[in-house]
Amino acid sequence: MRADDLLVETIDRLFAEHCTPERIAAAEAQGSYDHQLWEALEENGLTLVGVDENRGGSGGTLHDAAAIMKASGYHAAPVPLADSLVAARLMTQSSSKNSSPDGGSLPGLGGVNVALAGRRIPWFEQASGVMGFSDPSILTIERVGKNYAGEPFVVLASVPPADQNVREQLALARSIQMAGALQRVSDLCVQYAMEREQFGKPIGKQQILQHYLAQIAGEAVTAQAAADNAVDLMVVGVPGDEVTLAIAAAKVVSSRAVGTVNKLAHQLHGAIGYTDEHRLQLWTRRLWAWRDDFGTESEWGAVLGSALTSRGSSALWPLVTSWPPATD
Amino acid sequence: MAVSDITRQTVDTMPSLSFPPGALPARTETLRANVRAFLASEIAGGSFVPRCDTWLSQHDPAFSKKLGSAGFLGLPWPKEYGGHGLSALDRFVVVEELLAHGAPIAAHWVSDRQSGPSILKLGTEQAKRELIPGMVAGEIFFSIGMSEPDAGSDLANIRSTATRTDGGWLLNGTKVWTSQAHNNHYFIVLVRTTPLSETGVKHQGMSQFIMDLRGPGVDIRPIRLLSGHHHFNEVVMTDVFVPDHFQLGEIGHGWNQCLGELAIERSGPERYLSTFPLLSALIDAVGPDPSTEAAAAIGTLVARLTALRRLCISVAVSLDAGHEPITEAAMVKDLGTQLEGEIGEIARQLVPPGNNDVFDRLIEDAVLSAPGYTLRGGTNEILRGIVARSLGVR
Repeated sequence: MRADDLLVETIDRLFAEHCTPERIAAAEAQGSYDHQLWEALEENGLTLVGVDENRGGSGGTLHDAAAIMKASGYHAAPVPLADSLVAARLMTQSSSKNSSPDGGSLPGLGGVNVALAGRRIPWFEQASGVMGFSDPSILTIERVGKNYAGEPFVVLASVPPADQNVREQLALARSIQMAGALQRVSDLCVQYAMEREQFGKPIGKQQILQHYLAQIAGEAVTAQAAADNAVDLMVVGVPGDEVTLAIAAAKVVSSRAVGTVNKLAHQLHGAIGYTDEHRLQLWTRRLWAWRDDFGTESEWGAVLGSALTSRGSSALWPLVTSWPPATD
Repeated sequence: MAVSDITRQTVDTMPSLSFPPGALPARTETLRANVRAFLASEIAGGSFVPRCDTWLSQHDPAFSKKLGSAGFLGLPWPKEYGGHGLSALDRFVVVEELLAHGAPIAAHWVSDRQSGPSILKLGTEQAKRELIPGMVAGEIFFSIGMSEPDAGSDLANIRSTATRTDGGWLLNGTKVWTSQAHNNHYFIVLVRTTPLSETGVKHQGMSQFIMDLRGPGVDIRPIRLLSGHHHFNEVVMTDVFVPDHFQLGEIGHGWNQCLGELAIERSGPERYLSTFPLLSALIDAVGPDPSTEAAAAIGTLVARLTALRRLCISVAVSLDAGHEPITEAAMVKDLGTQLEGEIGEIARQLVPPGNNDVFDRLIEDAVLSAPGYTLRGGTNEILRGIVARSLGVR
């Protein structure tokens, strides 16, 4: 089970072209997203991947949508693409639920959509469509702000009745974005370790830094694996709360990886990596922000842990061995 | 060069993942159900009590023989030699069930994991006929003959030798850390067949042989662990005769053959499941309504475990497809063996010793075995070096 290779290639090329450090910085300075990139994504139908074509989407699988989210993290794409992909999919899926404004095809589908999942809502003011509340116009904004990466959010005056599913889907989206960003930090560290010379040789020749690089790469790969488990289970459609638990596991592993990876990556980069001139911060700041979005590792760890303890030890191993789902 | 120029240099395309998506085939689910049923009945019948780290420390020939009779050993091996003609993924399923249930599997462990595959790949026809059926039956057991007093992480520094004699070879030297040599029948031993003074290259001139551990000239001396447990040994070889048909592979190719063995040795589920029986017991020990902190700690361990298992399956699928995921195996072993140790560290804090004898013994197993997790089969420092090399910095 994997994403379409051509799609991955296309999205990767598109992001690489648009997501220059200058463009990312400009979007941040404006407190918004990169409209030129968003238009390019829309033209290619990439904002609606994973949404059925007969509901106004671009088709494609959940694996395709996940691959796009990962690429957006890898390239620090200054667009609310992951949130929008989640919102668009939920909107078209939930026509029977009252959490959707009017079901079916929705205002904002094709624009930037935002899903409500608590009081602090990323990209709220930039959105043309809102998911998760029957009448967005009555929502009161208490204050606006930016996260560590300069991505805008609002804090609502009151907590709308949150659909737990919305929060889960957004937590998974962040996990996937983090997997991409962690991979990028890993790549940047390898590159810097080979280029930067001290004591007459590349710093990557120092054994301790080689070990940092191995640890960083390992954390990135583990975060990806945890997210992949959750996506696979969603695609297969397992009964009960297993998808929720796999998403919890994904958010735990990715959020937890950030602490280790950012610390080692900055240590390895020295003073230059701590400045805004160096692009490492484009990813480490996002990672610091995203690990707190939609639940920290402790919150999701407790969700998974309480489910396990309430079921008792006999349920543990059967659960462990049902991820990833077997294939034919 | 200006700083902005440095920062503009790009690595703007995503590298392909070295861990292809891997899942176990659905057909293995029947086999899994069979192993689970077998283990449930063994536990109910009092055949064993689940322990940690059983693949090295719990040597039970009778249990291994039961597994052999039940058809759970030699699964991927050809039927021609008594094997079951299945795949390495079928073995993966059986092995992870045995580990997770804390079954006593040290007797056949090395034989089933690496000696059998090595003999089938490199051994003489006579060796295959003589040894493989007994290995499948759970009656012939192997140890590993690699490390020496001066050759630990630097394995190529071995000094043991084999010299030519009528109809075979005479082996001399000392092997150490030879787990279960005092209980097992053979080991596959790495020795020099050409002196270093002649090759001038450390990694050349080595060969592998199958050596009878109970033959004349073999002196097996116990090395007790800090726990008092005895599985390590020193094996001193003095003119030990090995017949030609127990030569393994080609003379002079021992080093590369060993590396192939290590890829298999490093990639299995025993590299993250050694303390799973403790994790499982921990869930009942904290009870159904733990504190949020305790729940989060347990949830975090299980979250990491499930991610590592996915990576481990990916490596197994890759190995089964004929690839050599040496780096990936090293990475999974580094991460998995750290998790094994942390399970003990978390468990002892959530349910301190003194509350429950059975649980206390599992913690004791886990804590006192902990130094071994990140040493055996290649230290984590060596493993990180392997990963760093593949990243291009070494």
